[in-house]
Amino acid sequence: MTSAVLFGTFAIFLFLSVPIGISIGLATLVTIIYSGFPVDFLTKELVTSIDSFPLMAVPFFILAGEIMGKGGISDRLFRVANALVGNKTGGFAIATIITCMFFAAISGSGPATVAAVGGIMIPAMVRQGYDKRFATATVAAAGSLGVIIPPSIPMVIYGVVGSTSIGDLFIAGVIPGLLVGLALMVYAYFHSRKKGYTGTGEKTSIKLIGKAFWEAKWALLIPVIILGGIYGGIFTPTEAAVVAVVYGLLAGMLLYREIRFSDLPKVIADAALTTATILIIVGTATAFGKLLTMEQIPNEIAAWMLSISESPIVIILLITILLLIVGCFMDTLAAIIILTPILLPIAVNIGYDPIHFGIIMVVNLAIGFITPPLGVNLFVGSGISGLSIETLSKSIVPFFLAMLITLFIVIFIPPISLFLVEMMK
Amino acid sequence: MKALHWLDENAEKVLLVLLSSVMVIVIFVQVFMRYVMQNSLSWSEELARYCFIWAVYIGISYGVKKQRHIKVDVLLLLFKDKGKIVFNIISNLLFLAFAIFVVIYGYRISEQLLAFGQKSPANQIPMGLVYLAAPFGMALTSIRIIQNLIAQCKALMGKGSFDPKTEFEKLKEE
Amino acid sequence: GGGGNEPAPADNGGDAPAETEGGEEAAAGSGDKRVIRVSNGINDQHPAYEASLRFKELVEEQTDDFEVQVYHSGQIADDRSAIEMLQLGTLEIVVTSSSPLANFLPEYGVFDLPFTISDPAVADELLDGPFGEKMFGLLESQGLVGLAWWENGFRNLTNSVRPVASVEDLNGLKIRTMENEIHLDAWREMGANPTPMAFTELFTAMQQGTVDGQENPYPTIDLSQYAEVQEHISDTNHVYTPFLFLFSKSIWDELSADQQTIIHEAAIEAGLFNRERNREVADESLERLKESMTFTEITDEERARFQEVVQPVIEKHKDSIGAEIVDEYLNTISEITGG
Ligand code: NA
Ligand code: NA
Repeated sequence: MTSAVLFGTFAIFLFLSVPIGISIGLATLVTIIYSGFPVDFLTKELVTSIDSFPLMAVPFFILAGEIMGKGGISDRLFRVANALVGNKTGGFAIATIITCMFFAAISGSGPATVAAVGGIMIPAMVRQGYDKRFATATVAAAGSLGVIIPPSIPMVIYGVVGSTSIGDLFIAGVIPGLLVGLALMVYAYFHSRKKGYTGTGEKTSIKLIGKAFWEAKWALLIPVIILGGIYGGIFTPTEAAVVAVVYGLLAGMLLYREIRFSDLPKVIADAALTTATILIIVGTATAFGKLLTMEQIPNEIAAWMLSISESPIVIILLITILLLIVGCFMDTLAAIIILTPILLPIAVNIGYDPIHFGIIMVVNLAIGFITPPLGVNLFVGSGISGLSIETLSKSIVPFFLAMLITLFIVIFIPPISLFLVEMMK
Repeated sequence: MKALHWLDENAEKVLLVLLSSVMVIVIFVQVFMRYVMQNSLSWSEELARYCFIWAVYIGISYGVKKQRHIKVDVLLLLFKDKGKIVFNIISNLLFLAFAIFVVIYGYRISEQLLAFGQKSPANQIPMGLVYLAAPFGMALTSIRIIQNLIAQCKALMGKGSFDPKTEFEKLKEE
Repeated sequence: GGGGNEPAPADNGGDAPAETEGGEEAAAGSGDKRVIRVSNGINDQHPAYEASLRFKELVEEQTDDFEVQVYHSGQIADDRSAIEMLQLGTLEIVVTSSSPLANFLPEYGVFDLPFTISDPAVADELLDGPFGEKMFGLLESQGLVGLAWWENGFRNLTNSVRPVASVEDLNGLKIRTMENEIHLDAWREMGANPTPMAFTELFTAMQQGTVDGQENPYPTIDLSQYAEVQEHISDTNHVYTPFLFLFSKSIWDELSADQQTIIHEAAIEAGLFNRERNREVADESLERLKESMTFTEITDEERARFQEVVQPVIEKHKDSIGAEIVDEYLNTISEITGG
């Protein structure tokens, strides 16, 4: 009954278009009153839940992303990708995906990746003769890489909620991220061949590629600093994010000279705003999750799932389907905070490594960025291109399938996630 | 009057820039001290964490001012302008109810914790002040919501203008 | 928050899927039973969790008034935050180490003073005697009721650089410590470079060399699998940390005298069980750790040198803890040890 009140009121508030974090907070409040709990629990949890140093990687990675976004970096990254593959069939589409992958190694967010890359690449692809629907779908799908390739805000949240190492999650996301990118490129290539999207026709050479790389060097160094710093024993993920901020500022102000000192207040305030809109969800969803725990609901769900089948394959498939459905309707971070305490123990029970399971969850929920009705990447893509959500939802289907296939590969071949982690040991 | 207008425009922004800058600088110094100077700081992480908590709750207010909170507003696409405004008003009233709840009860727990006198481990900051972040931020948030509500009610009565567009529609126009 | 007892070992994400005790009864509807929740920061492999289950059994054998629910791994809250919940009356019980309490009552910092207790028997006599009573008496002003002393145990040092047998061996080692001024000062005084850090990042940080070592009780070291990333372990026994079995005063005052007696006695009995198990587990953990780490014993002479070196730390923090409490603590210990 309690869970009915909790989830029922949450759905109602959500559909009344109350902000997600507040919807969760109100639902928790109603349930607390319903079950005779002291309300102080909720107000205290609002602060306690965000009192976490690892969680502070979120604002810093957002700030780093904002600074990079201002510094004309997407453009330079694209020139590298274009020098590599631009003259081949489907070259612009593939270069767009590669640009997303580069940008994903700087940004920790899916929608931010779509916004940064799409703004330049959708018009560019259209000018090159690509169908606008295909162009937008390409960016919306590849934008999901923002959370699979490290750094990744959902991984930070999963690490905090599931008490697993954020550094390990980051490294575990590298190969799955490359794999998802590859799957998207494969589809983009065959689609382009069918539609006759030829390359730019420009000649390329090692010299040109080298020049493009050189011009983008300050941006391409960021992932090296972040992962190298964490795995070189210099700093923790949160500190890495701060170093990325400082580095981005220096690069943007001194090297590229595209950020002025007077721009800083706006950049910082914007990043703080984005942070707050995410962290209010963390605050209330953590309280929501704890209330579930205290009402014993995760145990009931776990017992029920484990009673359905003895087979780990059946159970992981059930979890996958659940996450895909949740991904259609719920915000990624809220889903991670609420579901991790429920699903992680089940996954561990059937033999999954917590790091591997974290990657499964993140890849799965990254697919949720492109599934309607709540598909944030679709919204952003639609905003940039002017196409309707309905139109986009259709052209995204093949990309969705490509990601789904990769998800299953990630689920059933653990070394894809764990190989690099093991190697670092 | 002029001061009030300036506050209305900049209050959250100034606080956010201040708190964020402290966070970045303090953590950067922490890394520098440990890695370069081989001398770890004990106060830096805690200070940054408390700035972070305050920044989040002030940021929520800024998010209301800028109308940037993450919501599911696909349902709103079904309605015409007036319907959208009505929906927005309902949603804002619910948000306001939550904010006021946090102001009252959040203040109550800060007060109790201040009375018990617990101090933070590293900087000896009274913990009640840390918990004050939520009611303070939500008080600012309440003001911002009321400002929005006034604009929406005016728009509903045909006076003044309020943009009832959804996030999605706004993006489309950019 | 910092300063607390360590939370669950890093990779324990979910050792026990459906094992928060009391679940079935709750699902079946607990009727008019009063629910009592016990929060543990440690995970479900720790002896304190086992003892919490023992407490549940003892209470529920004695009376039908209560349904006791036991939580582990900070499922409800980390220890510092759980203490606050007790103060606010939103949680009944926390089994917490003394360390986070020092933020509420500086006097509890005495237990952080290094190299003061070196034998569990001394700890028992100290805590079960008038000194323990006095410490419990302080809790009332914080809205807390202290029912029993349980045990977290002795903290010991591991590192990946060299065996530590003497103070000199600590020179320059980057040691992760809790966010606690006394611990930080003690390690600095001994020549190490102490660094506070989140527990969840510790494993990776040691693996990558961001820090060289850490210090925790043997069971925590073993459960967290630090042997994979640490080569050396020493029986520094530098700090003895008790656990306190705390009840929310505002809720306590609502209970009848009979109910209070039942709960109080169960807490004490479960506590005795906890100490016994904890010592067994610590021995077993050390044996396992010895298989993959080099173990160094600190000789009595070296221990005396450690004690000497950290003397300024005790002097420095004496006033902030409370000179009277520190003196009583040290005097009681030397009476017990016959010094
Ligand atoms: Na990323
Ligand atoms: Na979705």
